[in-house]
Amino acid sequence: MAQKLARAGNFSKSCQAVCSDSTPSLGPHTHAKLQAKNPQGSEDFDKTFWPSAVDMNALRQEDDWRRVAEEHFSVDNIREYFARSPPLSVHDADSWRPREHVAFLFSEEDEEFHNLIRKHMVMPFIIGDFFPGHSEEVAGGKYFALVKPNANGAPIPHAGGASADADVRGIVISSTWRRCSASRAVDESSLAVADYLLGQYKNFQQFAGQKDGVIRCAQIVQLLLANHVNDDVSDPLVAVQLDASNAFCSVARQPQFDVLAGMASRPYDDGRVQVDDELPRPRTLDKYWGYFLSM
Amino acid sequence: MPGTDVAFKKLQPAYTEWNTARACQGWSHPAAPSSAPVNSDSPGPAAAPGSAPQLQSLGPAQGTSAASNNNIFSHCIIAEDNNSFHNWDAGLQFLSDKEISGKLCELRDFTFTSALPVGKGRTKFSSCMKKVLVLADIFQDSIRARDTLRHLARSLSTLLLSHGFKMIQTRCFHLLKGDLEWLWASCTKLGRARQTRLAANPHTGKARTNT
Repeated sequence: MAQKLARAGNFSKSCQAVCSDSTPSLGPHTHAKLQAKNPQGSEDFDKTFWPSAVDMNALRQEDDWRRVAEEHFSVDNIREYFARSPPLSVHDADSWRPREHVAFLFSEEDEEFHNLIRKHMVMPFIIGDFFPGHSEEVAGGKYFALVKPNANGAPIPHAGGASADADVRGIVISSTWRRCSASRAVDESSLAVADYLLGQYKNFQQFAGQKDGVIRCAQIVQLLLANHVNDDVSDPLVAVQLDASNAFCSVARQPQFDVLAGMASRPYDDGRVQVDDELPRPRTLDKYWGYFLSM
Repeated sequence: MPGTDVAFKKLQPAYTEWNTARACQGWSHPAAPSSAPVNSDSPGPAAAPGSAPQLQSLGPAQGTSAASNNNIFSHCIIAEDNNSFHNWDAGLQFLSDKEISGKLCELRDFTFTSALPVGKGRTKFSSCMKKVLVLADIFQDSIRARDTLRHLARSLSTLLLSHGFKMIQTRCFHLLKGDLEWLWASCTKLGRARQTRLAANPHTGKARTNT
């Protein structure tokens, strides 16, 4: 397998095939553990401040959306995404591999066909153009579990306060087509969102999405630590590493929609934000409401 | 015009017989025209111009039979006898049945490994993809029908590539002929066989998980 991956040009995965000691979690309780990792949240959303279909249609008529659709979601950009996907990446729930099964669809000069792929396979994920009865399948993905080893490579014991599902690492493989649309959307909006966050919060530093972002982050942290002895003990400068546990499994959807809509439908921040208060958010995400709604 | 009425009366039995035969094949039609002249080449509405989209979407069905209520594609009627979707009626009925029964995504219950199409296999696969997307593009007025056909397009990798590269062209041929039921049944059979093997020895799943 490692040789096959290396010959195809996917060296990262080839290395992983040799070095990784991850094994599938196939225990009798794996299913229950995965369910515990993914608590079923309420879908009874407060939609008071949600944009209406009329609002979204009006947004789609704006020059900004037309420009974004033409430039960032063009056939050329979609073709480039699939052509640059790593070879022999894992296939999705419908058995698509982006490089092997999709990239060649753009090889012939059939503009009509390419536009149909863009219109019916990629853009529905951006604008949320799905039949409501199919939403559950559209939002889902292929989900499997690996055994999460501890530092010594042995499974994490269910002791010392560790949760029952601590030894399972759930991995979701979403639709190849959704990944393409998400990649293009991030490419379009990431700079604007970074500018917004950097301008909005004085103590915000972002390294994600930058070239050599990890190295830059490490250098900044080292500089801070080198100067640590000069800090005031009563108000020290500290580096905090946050790891959002199960970040994507337990995402709170109502706050997410409130932020995207720009209005609070419930109190937040210990009551400092009340219902009907305006929530700051980067406006560039307004056009991706349909994307978040169909997740 | 008296002449028109006479001509229509002469054509009415032929039209009724033709319509009944079409209904038996799963196609539904709007109610028979009352007094409008009937073109023997195109008994339904006028043929759509151009070559690719040769079905006409007429909006929500009006005056259709009870059977058509069980077909989410029922408001789409055939425009010409000789068109590229001529023998897709049974296939669309099959797809509609799957959608209505909530089994449209049942193939996702199984794990398949898609073959890598090369040469003519790629050309055929592209043709199949285009055919389904052209069909989806016709249903501008029905998100349910359009999304069902989009799902069919998303399932093509499973339907056409899961039986090895030697079978790609054969399976593409079946899809181009609208034989969705055969494609679906063979995938279900393959998926169940794999599932049985996997249940017998769960650790054989390791290789697939790591790739």
